[in-house]
Amino acid sequence: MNEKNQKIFSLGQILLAFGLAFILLAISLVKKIFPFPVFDVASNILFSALLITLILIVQPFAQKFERNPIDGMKFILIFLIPLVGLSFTFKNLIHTQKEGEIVTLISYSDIIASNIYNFVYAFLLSIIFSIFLKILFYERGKEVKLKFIAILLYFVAGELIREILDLSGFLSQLMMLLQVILFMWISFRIPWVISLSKKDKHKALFFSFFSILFLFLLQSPFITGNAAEGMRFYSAFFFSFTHFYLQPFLIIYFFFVFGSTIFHLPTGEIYERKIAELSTLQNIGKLVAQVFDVREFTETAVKIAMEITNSKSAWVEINISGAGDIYAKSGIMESDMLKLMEKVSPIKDKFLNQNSDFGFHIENFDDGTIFIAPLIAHGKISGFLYLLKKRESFNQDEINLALTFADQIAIGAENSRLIQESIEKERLSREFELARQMQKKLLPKDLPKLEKFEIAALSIPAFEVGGDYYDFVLHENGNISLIIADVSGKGVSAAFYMAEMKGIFQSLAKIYPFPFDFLIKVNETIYGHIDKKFFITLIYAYLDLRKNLIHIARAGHPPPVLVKNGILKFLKIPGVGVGLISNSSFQKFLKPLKLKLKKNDMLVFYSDGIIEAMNEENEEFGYERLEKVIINGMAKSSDDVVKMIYDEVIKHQNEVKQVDDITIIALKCKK
Amino acid sequence: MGKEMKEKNFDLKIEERGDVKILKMKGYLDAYTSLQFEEKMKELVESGNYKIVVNMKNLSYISSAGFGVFMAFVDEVRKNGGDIKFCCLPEKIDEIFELLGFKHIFEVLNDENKAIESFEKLGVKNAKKRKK
Repeated sequence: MNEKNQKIFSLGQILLAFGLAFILLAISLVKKIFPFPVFDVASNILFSALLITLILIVQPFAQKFERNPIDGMKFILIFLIPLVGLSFTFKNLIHTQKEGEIVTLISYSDIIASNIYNFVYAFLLSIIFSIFLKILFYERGKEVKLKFIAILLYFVAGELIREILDLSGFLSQLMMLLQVILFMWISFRIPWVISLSKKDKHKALFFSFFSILFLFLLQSPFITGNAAEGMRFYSAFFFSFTHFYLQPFLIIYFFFVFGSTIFHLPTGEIYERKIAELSTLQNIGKLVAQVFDVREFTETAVKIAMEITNSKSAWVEINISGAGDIYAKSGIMESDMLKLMEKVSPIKDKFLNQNSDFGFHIENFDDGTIFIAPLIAHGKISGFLYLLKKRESFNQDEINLALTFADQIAIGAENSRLIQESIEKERLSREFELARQMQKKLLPKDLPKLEKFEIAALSIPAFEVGGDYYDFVLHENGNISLIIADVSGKGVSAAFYMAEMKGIFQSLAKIYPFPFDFLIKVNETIYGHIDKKFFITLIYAYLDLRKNLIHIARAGHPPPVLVKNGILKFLKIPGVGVGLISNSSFQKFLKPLKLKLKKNDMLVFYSDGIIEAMNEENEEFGYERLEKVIINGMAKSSDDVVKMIYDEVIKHQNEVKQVDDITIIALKCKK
Repeated sequence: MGKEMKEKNFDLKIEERGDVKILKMKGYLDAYTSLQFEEKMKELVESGNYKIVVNMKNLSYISSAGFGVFMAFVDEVRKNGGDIKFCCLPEKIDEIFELLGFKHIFEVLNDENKAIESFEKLGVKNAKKRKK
């Protein structure tokens, strides 16, 4: 026994037990000399006290078997063996003689031996009794405890009656019979047997069978002989307790255990599997909810599939877009698996060629059976589950289970894919947001505040990032350069070139403020250095604030609008887009324009996103509409004009999504 | 953000006249459709077709990305003794060609046959050159 239990054992109880044992020894010795019935009564009472004490002492040990009847039975058997051995040993150590009806022990050494025997016997029996009670009460209500007390009382009462009234043989036997019936009555229902696993049922059969065997041995005079006589001399009550109460009780109870186990044996497997099914499906449910990694998920799933269907091996093939084929396998070598898959590939094709009612397929070959079920997610086959058995076939339960399982795997894999997808989407949209913010920073934060001119600007990309660009450079002499540019194409690639354009503009405009020089340098920098299919259209203007002069050059960009003296004009200044042709040709076609601006003169720059903005009828906004808006707003501030143009474009687009970047800059002369 | 009411399709038919390929375009050559068009052009040029006439008669729209496709192949085509020529531009597209300066880069003709003939002349010229 372990330390913990030793601590729990009360020293007082142990001392009391030994004390009682010594008194009993003394009484039995006295009884040898003066065989008065009063000593028998005394020893019976004292022995009862001893037995109760011993039972109390072993309670902590018996506690272990509170919810464990199989282990309890095992320990009962373990303690029965020494009990039989003990009895057999003492049978030869104790000598008796018959004096008429009464059997007495011959010598004092016999009495001492008998005392030792009874004490050890009582100790072992109290353990058995305590464990037995735990088994008896396991999974049964209060009613069984009441029955138990009733039977115990019946037994004690019977003993007393027999002792006092000295009943006839017939009545005594009748009482015994009733006792046996009572034992059967209490032992009749043994609920815990049903829920035992197959293995535990086998154990229960084994333990109960041998327990019954040993108990019969203990009952038989052939084994116990003189030892039993010694017990009767020691305490007649103890003899009755063992031989007429506990041992018959145990025999009957174990007989019922044995019988009911045999009765429930065939259901054992089914019960076991139902439990396994339930717990497996629960686990899979959790698995589906938890596992983010398809591979990890399938590996676990394959193992469970193999277990619940009692297969020898199992594997799963999942075909998820982007993830390729995932083979998770269990209980099979890769080479064998591939060989088998090769063999069954026509079945796979058959599944893939049908559109609904997929079902499953079972194929027998050589010395085994293979089960194939497609994994179906959203009405499409996303893979296959394979189960393999050797020399056995699949029963209906296993097939149902495997099919449920295939569904679960399909759902799990699909979930996993969706999760991955949404993570990727989330990541991309965050990157785009970042790019958008970066690009926003490329555009000027504040517009230049000038004495003679008012400037307004607006730029709205169609996608997260765009290719439109506008910017200003303030020169040291107080003059100002302005650029509006549009990189061909859309999205990220255009945005990259736009960023490059900012660097080029900010550095070159300061060195080459005049349009011709500037554009030549820009084309030199860009032509042949960026992807051939990209080019940039732009308008560059250098504003001489002192002279109210503006130098403008256009490189392939939609022509700027000039409003002068109430007349509107598109300035189709010659110039080819930047990056299209080499400088030798480029400069040939480049003809900048010089303009003198007066009060209320206005210049409007814009990107082709304005002209090409389409409505539901695929009708472009066009130059005429732009012209009209500007004429309507020519008396207004540059801010108002920009806003009017934008509003008009939005109105034109109506419900249609903006497909191109939109940029508008208005420059108005105040003095 | 709203929806697009009409599908903006792009359609390309390739006809052959001698060793000249005639690309008949229809619909909208925008940032998306130009990706398909680029694939077609790539196939064409890689399989040794360097004399290309692009007929834009039925083209409704061309974006800068569309122009980019021609820019991507023009150097290689010219290096191999061919060219890309345009014909039958609708007014609106002609205007864009003009503004962008594309007319300085590419030959633009009013008639498909003239465009094809100009290649034949080129062929004769080249043959003469070779004879010399």
